[in-house]
Amino acid sequence: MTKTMIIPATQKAALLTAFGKDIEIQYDYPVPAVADLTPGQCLVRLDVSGVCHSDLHIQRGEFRAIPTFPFIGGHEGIGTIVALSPGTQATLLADIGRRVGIKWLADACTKCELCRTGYEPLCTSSKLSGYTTNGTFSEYVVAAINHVVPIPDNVDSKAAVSILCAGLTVYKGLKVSNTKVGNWVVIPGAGGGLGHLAIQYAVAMGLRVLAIDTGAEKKRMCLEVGAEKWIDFRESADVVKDVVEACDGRGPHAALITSPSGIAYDNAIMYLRPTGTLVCVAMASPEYSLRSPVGLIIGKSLTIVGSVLGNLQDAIEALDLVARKKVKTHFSTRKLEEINDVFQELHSGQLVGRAVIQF
Amino acid sequence: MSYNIPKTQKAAVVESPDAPIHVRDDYPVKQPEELAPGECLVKMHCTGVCHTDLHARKGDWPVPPKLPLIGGHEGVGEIVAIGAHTANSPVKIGDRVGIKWLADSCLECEQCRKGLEQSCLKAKLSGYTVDGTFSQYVVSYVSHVTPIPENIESTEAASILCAGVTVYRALKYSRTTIGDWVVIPGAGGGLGHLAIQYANAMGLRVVAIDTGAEKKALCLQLGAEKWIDFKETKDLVKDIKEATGGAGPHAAVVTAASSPAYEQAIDYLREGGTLMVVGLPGTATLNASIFFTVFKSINILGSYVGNRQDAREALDVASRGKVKCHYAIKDLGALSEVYEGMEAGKVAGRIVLSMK
Repeated sequence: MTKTMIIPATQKAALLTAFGKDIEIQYDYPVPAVADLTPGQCLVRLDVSGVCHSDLHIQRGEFRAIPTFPFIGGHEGIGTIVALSPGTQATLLADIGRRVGIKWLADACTKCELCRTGYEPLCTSSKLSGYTTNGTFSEYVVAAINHVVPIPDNVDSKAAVSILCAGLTVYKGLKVSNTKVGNWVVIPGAGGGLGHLAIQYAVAMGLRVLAIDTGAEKKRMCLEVGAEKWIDFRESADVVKDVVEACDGRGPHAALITSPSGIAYDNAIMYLRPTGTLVCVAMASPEYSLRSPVGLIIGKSLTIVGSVLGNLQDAIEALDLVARKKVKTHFSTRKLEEINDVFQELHSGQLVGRAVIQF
Repeated sequence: MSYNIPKTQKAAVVESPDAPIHVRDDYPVKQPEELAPGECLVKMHCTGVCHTDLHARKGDWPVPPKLPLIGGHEGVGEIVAIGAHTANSPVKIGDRVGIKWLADSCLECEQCRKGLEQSCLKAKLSGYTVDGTFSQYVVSYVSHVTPIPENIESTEAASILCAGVTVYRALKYSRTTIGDWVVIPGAGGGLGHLAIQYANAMGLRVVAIDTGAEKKALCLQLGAEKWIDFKETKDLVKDIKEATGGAGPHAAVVTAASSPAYEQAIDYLREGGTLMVVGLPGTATLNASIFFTVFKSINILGSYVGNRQDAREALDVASRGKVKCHYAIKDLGALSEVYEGMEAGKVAGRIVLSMK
């Protein structure tokens, strides 16, 4: 059955015209024409878009690839499919009228070894939302039907959108952390967009959480969402010592770094208990390199895991936990026009939880 | 600290499978000077009763127990003596410890070295090949007794030592991940009701299978998301699939002691799923369709009690309130009645015998 939806010719969109420049809002940016969509593509009318620290890294030119300017950032969006490209059939997960999510991985080749083994976010021929292809800081976005994420019926779009990047990333990070029920996991940056979700996924998995961040508001939130212990890194005289003590005097079994701070990574190597795992998910600044005496890594038999995002199965699992009320995003609702303010708040570490743009 | 260790004690002795259980008041107590290096004497607070103890009493397993036998292997007590010349004991006099099925293993053979201590060829089994915990004083082994965390009562800890460890380990190795469905046939029993709770602690979703209103109430109260009464259902496989979103569970932890409970697992398990074989029927065989085991990529794994690490982990989870044993306390003298109740399938949860 073909349905048709009314699609306007122009839309509101947030554009980056050069690295380091403020994002500009345009109110008459053209909506991609359905006739121009290639096979396998669809057009999505967005209700909401999350804002991720990576969007800020991209705006500042801190990532490697150079996108084509001007481009539309953003890679956490939820909306409704309004059109399929001519000749494209609906699939199990994607059809006109369905509510779907758009994430960082916009499209992957499906032919390479990485795609075949469940690592499509690493595909070298991939298209990345809000980076190498236009993203979700606009009312309409082109998406690949094989890579949109079905959103559970009983979850509100604003509550679900941050799961598409933040939630997915920390959920997958915990899956690869080699932990099991009863283990301690330390989460630096626990009060942020990724961190507060990580606490909840960890608790749902039966882990014990030590949250690290700073300030009374973040402390309150972390404990409220289930962290068993808290350390304020600005108040502690010796974070490593305090962490080891807090985790039964032996240090945690894992550390999931959600803070973009190099020091957070350095400390983890020191406080992890022997055979522990350091999960690297937060992008620290390009000047920072993880440094540790190799003897320490060997002597403690540590595992260091890099984890970027997750695949479609991980995304569906991460959303299922939200649908079953084990995980809840703490977010503030903003307008697209506030995007530069949101970036500023992210940069200064002031933003508690997630910012969600409502169109 | 010094203890006054008597020369005789109360103990429940099985002299033969046909004779009634003999609860004696005059059973000799091994004295401290008689303990070999590595041995310890434990004064019992309490002990759980396991279905295995019934098998030991009846002698109906392929491997026979020693006779005469003092059964029991879910005991909690305190160490009152340690054999002279014991090197590097991890425990000391006065420590509160648990005695589980695996009383001792050599720690040198391939199985021990790989952590599969329970399969040591020289393993000593409490209440089966060595005397167990249905007595006031028990000889055990410093390397293998399990320290009991401070924040759990002895009676709460007792059944964790076998029932708890066993289902904990089965779930640990069940290849499940958070959000997965696990089916627990026998969910209202001693092992089953603990399995529900460990599964929940791990973020799994539980379908409890058993029969009767009492067990239903217990299972749902302990956190099973769905319940199926196997005596009321017209089509168990269909009901299980429906209960688990249509595709079947990701795992089944079968603690029941009969063939049928295992057979249907291949039918109801989701593709890629795992059947954890835990219950110990003496002579029943596992009949599984080879075709569907392959076609559905089903894993079938035997899981046998737990090693020292499993025991500590299982107790840790319980001590933090995530798992609570549902039990009734009786006296050692009631052991025969307890066995009768077990044979009739009437025991919900666990019976713990007090030694005080």
